[in-house]
Amino acid sequence: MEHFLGFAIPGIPYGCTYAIVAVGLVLTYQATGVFNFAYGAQAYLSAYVFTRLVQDEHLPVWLSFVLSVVVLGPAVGLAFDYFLFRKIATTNTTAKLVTGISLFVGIPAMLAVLFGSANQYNSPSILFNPGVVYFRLAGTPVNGIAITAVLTTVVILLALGLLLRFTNLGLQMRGSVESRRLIELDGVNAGRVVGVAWAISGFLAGLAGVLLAPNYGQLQFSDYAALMVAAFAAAAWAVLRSLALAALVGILMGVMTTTLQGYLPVDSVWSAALFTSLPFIVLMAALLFVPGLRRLDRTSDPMASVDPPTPPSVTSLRAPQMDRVIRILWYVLLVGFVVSMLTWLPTTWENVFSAGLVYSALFLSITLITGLGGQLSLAQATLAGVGAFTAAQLASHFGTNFLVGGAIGAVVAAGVAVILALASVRLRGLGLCLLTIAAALFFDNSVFPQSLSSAQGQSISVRPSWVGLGVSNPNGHAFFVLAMVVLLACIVVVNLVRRGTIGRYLGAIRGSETGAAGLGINLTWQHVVIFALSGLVAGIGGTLSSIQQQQVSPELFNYQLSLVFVVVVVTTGAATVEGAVQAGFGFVVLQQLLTYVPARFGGNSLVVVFFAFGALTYAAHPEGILEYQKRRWTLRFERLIFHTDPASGGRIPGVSAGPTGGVTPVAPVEPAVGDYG
Amino acid sequence: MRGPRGNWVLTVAALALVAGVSAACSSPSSSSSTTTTTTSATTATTSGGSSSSSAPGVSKTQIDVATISSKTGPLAGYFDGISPGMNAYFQMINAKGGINGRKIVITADLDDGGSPTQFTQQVHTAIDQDHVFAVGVASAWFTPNYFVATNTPTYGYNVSSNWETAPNLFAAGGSTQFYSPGVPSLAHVIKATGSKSVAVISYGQSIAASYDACNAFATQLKAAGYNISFVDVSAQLSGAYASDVQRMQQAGSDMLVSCMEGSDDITLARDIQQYGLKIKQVWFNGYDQTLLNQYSSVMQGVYINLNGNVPFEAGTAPKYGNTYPGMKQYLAAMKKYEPAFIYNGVAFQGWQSAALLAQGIQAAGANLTQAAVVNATNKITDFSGGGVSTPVNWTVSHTSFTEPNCTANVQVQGTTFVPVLATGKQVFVCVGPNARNPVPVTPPVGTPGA
Repeated sequence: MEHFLGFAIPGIPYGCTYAIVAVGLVLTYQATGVFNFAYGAQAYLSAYVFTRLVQDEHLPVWLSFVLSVVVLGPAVGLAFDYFLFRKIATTNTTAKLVTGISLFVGIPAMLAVLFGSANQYNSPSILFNPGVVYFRLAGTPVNGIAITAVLTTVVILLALGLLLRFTNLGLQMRGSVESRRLIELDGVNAGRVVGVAWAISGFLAGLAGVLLAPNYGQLQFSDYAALMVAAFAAAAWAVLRSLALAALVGILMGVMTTTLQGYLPVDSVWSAALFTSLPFIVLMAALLFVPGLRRLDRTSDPMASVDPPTPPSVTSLRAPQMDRVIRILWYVLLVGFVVSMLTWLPTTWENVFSAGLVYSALFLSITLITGLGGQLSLAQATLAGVGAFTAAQLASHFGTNFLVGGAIGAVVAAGVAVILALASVRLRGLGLCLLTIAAALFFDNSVFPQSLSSAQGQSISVRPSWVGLGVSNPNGHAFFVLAMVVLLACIVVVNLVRRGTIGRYLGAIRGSETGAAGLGINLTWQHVVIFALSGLVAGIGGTLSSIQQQQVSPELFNYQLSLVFVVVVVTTGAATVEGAVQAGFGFVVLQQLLTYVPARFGGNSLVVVFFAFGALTYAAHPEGILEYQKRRWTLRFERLIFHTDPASGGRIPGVSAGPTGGVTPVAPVEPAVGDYG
Repeated sequence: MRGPRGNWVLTVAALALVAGVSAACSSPSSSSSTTTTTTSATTATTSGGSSSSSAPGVSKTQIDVATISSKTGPLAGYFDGISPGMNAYFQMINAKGGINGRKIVITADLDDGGSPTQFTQQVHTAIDQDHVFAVGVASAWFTPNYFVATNTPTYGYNVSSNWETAPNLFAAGGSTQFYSPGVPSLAHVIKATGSKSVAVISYGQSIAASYDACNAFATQLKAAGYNISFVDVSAQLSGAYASDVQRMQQAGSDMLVSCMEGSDDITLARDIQQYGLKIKQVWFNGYDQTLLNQYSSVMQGVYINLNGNVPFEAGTAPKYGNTYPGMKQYLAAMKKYEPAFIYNGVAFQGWQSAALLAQGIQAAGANLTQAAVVNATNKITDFSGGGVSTPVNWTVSHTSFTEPNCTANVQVQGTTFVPVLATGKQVFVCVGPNARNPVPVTPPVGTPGA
């Protein structure tokens, strides 16, 4: 028993931090309907500022705490509410998730841009000295970090419980999640209620951040990402409803981790895999076995139907004359691009544009799953990795040609995607997001690293002989040709899917699942098919990417890249092939251009910041900010050149705009995939 | 709005065909990478006796060099020192007139942002766009293929276990990552400190360098008859280590060998202190004055293995006088040209890399081509970076390791690192291959301080 307590007690402080974050997530979700993916980034922001104020500015701990947690935490929460989430309160779950994900990847990158990347050491404890053992419990030393974490957690949970249960504000906060507009009809200032919830949530994030920091020798964002996963699991088991249950599961997660560490064999590679996978296994179990999670995204707002529809694609709006001009221009540009790549472009830029082709192919998997399927998957980089790792291991162990192995890998990736699809048949929106990120993290921590042998080290170097065809020749164009052909093939596949029966069925499902089911469409089958296709394309993209990178490593396909990929693609437009291609090229060209910017101005971190801010516009422009700007400019040009009336959907002036007076009379038409422009 | 599907598919197919045909027509060299490399080598040979080299990045007065490292992003704190280290060395020799009348200048200081994609792009930027003569690298994403294909002399920090084999890849200290030669040196530390029961801890297999090193130590020390009382080769990055400490306590361990990061060693050391475990600690990371300034209380008495590098303290402590002029030179140059990176381990690797490049250029003489520098460097048998490391024999160091293994150890005493376990003014202890009986032997010729 003493052994058990000795292993369990050190987990309590970690569990307390998980509990605070889980409670913050549940509170935000309850009060605002937003599952705040950016919570870990908020916690890291406060911890970073706190540490810098103490270590670099030499401010007292209490003052640093006030500034970074009491002031900055709520301020960030309020800013999120006022500038972002309030504006998308009535939009779908995807918009809210994308906004949160953008902040999650954007905030740490922004900190690196603003303050540099120097290591931050020795975050102090806010109450008691980490270096002092105050007493022993069952022989286990209890230091200042543990006492601070436990005391703070108890006080915070009690205060929150009282606030929500016994005050008007608490009642209003619970009511606002059902329908903000409905409680306004009751005379409640819903904006104020939601604002308070965001402020409290921001404070809790900051508090969790500074409580966690002293546990580590060095402050690193990766630790806050891991914290989030544990908190996700706790919040999921609480069905995003019960603060008490979320807190309890959070504490149990901490205890379970250190206890397992104490009992499992430490000289086994499988133990390492199990330790690191534990939060993901717990999260996945919640998603699969807690029925309440399947109903999370079913809207209960009786006034939701007043929301306007998503604007149609520019391709469906513009005049036929303009359509022809743009089509011709795109073809000219494409031929010019190919000829330039093969003749005069410097090798550096040929390599950059080839990488653009690779990412375009990979991003088409997001077009399939998000644009066509209407679902947000956070495991696309993982599926790409499955393709690449399969190809590399086949080449490494059996001498299989890398391209053949890549084709097999794509099929394997499709298989993994099918398993994910079957596991998530009843999940949509948030649930699916959490399931896919759990799967991605499981692969990152357990599958990909374990698949590398000791001789292979941390990556598998892709040997030129594995690929053949002169693809790895530094002075040739073979890789460009290969990437171009593969991308075009992927575009054809996506286009055929979109125009075919599957695309039309998926369009119907996106419009109304109930209606589609009523028409006899098999929702499960369509869900599985689109996942499989997306996995197939991602696997192909992953193989291409590894040829281009000349290596296969877990870090090339980690979950953070999946998040960045989503952010990048929704910025340019997830609904169209054009959006995926623009995202692919934008991602690599911007990276290359930023190499000319001195590192002290942020360097590569600026890429993430740029796209993260772009993705923040997703809620206002779910078609993608580029698509939105294209529509604006296309219509302006039409008005200027062809004298068409944009409000009439590209029709020639004089023709009746219909009974609504030309406001939004055009029924959304499927955008022209593969039709460049 | 759109043309019929058939037209669209046809267009795509036609474009693909255009791409394929154009590639075949415009790029005869694309059929074989060997052709290109051979041509390059031939050019190098025929331009041999000319003082005005046709090699990339070489003019009559200057040799252009690029560095690629993680200067931004999450890994920047670990890798951003290579360029300052190389720059300080080049500035120092340029101030003396350069080599054969040419100054060596870092013309492209490139950042991979901690991203493998960006690393690949920067490799092309350095070689294809900036046309540099040589490249210095400190990145977790180092991938050798393009450097090898272009025969670019490449130098840097050996963290990714793929510097081996190719003759143009020169990692500071040797391009291999063998852990076995370090076992006798570790055995010597165990004996010298009177330790009886050894615990070993590393990250899991996902951090290969950590896992491989400590796994080799545990296995081979056990085979040599040492009491290995506790082994954890599955620790987590930024993990909780209290259970490890309890197990070490139960196992009666009195020496800990850690292959983890310095920041995680700190967490572990704090737990050791608070559990009251009396154990000597040997770390392979954490030789960082900034870290020591923050955590001196938990680092007291810790031994840190520096492998074959001369400790910085050997250039400053009065005890050593002028025994290590190379280290004094390093400290003076860094203080003058890159004061923010004086005690940065990667900057130290950069310094050694720059010194090797300079020595290779010097040895190549008038025949300044990349191939000539690579060939000349691979004939150097006792490179010590001007007296800052144990000698590296580049005739074998792409594939193997030379005995005896010499290592320097420092111990944390107060707020400083103090060289220990060696005798007199020597900082290195050289040990033969027998871990069972790790007797110090005479340092080989060329060892600094010998």
